[in-house]
Amino acid sequence: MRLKGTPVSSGIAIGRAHLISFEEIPIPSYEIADGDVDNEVARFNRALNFVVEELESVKETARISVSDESLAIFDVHIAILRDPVLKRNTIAKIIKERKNAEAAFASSVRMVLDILENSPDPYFRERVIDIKDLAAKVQMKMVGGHKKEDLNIPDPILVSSQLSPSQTGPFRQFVKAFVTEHGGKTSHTAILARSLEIPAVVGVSGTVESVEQGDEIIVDGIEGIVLIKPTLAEKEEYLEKIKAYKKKREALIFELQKPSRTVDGHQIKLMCNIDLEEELEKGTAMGAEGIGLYRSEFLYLKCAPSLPSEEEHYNIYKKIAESSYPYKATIRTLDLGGEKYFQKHLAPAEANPVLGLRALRFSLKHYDIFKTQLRGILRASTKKNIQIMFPMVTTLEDLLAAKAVLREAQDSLKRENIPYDEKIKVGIMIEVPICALNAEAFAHNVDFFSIGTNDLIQYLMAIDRNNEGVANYYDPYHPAFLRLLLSVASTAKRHKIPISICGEAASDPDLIPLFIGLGIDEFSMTPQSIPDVKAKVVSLSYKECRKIALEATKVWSGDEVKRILKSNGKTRPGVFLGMRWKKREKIDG
Amino acid sequence: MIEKEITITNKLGLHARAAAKLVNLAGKFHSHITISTEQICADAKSILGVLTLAAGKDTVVKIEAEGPDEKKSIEAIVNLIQNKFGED
Repeated sequence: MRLKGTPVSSGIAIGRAHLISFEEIPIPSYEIADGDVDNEVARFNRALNFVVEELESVKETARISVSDESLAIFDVHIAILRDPVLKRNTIAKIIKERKNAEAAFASSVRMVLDILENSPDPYFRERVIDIKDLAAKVQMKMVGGHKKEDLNIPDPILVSSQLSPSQTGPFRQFVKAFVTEHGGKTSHTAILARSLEIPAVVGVSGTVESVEQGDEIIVDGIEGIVLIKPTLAEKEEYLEKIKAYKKKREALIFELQKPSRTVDGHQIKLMCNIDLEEELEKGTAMGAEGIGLYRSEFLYLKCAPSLPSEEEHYNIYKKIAESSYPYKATIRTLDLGGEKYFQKHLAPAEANPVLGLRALRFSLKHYDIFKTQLRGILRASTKKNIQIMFPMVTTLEDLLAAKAVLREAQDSLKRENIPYDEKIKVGIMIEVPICALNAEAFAHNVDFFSIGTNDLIQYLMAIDRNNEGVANYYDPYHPAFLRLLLSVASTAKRHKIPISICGEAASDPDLIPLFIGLGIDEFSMTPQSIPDVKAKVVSLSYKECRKIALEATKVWSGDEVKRILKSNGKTRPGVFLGMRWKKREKIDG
Repeated sequence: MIEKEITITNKLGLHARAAAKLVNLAGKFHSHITISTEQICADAKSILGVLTLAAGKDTVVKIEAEGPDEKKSIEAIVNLIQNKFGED
């Protein structure tokens, strides 16, 4: 069976399906499109019927060995699953509230549980467990989970509805690939896969239902193809492809010894993004000139459910500073929120976490957590190569408040006679549109800018980047986005502060000429993207990039920008297309 | 529509197994059947509904049925409750 999805991390892997356990995952919740209603209802019905049939067959097997009284339990469970009210409520929620099947079912179950849990009779309160267990079975079927005892599959390929950091955690050392039904290019799954250098395909509808635990699967992260139970011929074909892919990678890595500058001598700095300690060596191996982004939330994840101590902060930052020395290591303070809501006690459920109390906003409300992290960073800064970066800065007041906490952390260390870098550089992530538009104010108050393209595009386009229903709006080629970058880059140039891009767009070789042309000369990306990007950089002319980029800021759509890039500015298609647009406008109006 | 009041007399009341029997029986009829206590009215074909009644021994419940086989359905359900769900 052959399924198609979005490739988000390159490479090919052959392994066995490991369906992620339901207990390990939160129930996915999202709004469904109008056209998906029937599909969701059908998915719910299938899951429900599957579990009922399973119970009936277990009951038949048990009939031989157990008493009638014990058999009656099965009847209770089957009756619960067949309950018309539960079913009606769930379907009504799918249809009327446009909830996905999992969320609709969970909320219907919740209503029943609320009543039973408040019953004065302990007997009825105990039924809560039965219902929870049954609901979990249905959710497992929908989400694609399996019980924990099904572990120990060789060469596991994680298959799930979607993956959260806490689920992927235990598999990091040996997982071969990821396949998920939801998520986009910038989901946790995609980012982690790229940093682990394993293939990943997301947005593959129907996998969870079609895959059985332990099935052989091939994941092609180049083409976005997932083969379930491949034929022998298919397997041989892919073994050949794996060989060819490896050869190509080796050749690219050889190229790394060249300095990264354009043919006309414009220097471009390529740095790496780091999530996990294990990646530190990889960055050096790929020729990274420092760490442009260390995502500290992975440290919080590692320590969950408790918080990292100042000592734990210090230890990891110390290692990072040493490993990137003499180059800079940029440590981003906690960027919790959005999809990274791994600690319940830190991030209470928000209706719209992407627009909620996250990142710096969160840190400013949790003074102790923030100060502990800042002290840890400062203590590790004695080699003078650490820089601090605040994520999701919105207003100047936020920045000044954050700097005040930093000052307090510095003062407290001074009082304790603990050494730190007194001239530590402080920068901001520019990812909220209002911040980008107000860059001038920030340029007066920070040492560097870094553009988080994922979030900036998400907020500019008003799209949830994990919702594949709106993934088509994610367009880093959009000329309005490019104009914004040009304005921020010009502001940074005027103030002589470095500006980098550390979003996923920085690892896309097709976008690099645009970014370079707009005046950005530092890029930070997953280590294994460096070879491809470097190969691109050394083939470019800065002058040509500048021309193309400026032209790209003058058109009206991302498609036009792509055409400009394709024709490399030779035929000036922007002008041509602009004329055609105007003509059409005339006809329309 | 017809209705009838009856007292739950089995020791455990309308617990899960009894409720399953009641629901399975009600499901065999085409009529719309409800079972209610003073506080709650539940669909007699919904085990979760019946369980939320939390009707213990000696609770008086009211059965109401409306539809083509309403008479037969009430008789059958009353019979089941009177027979203490085949328990005790």
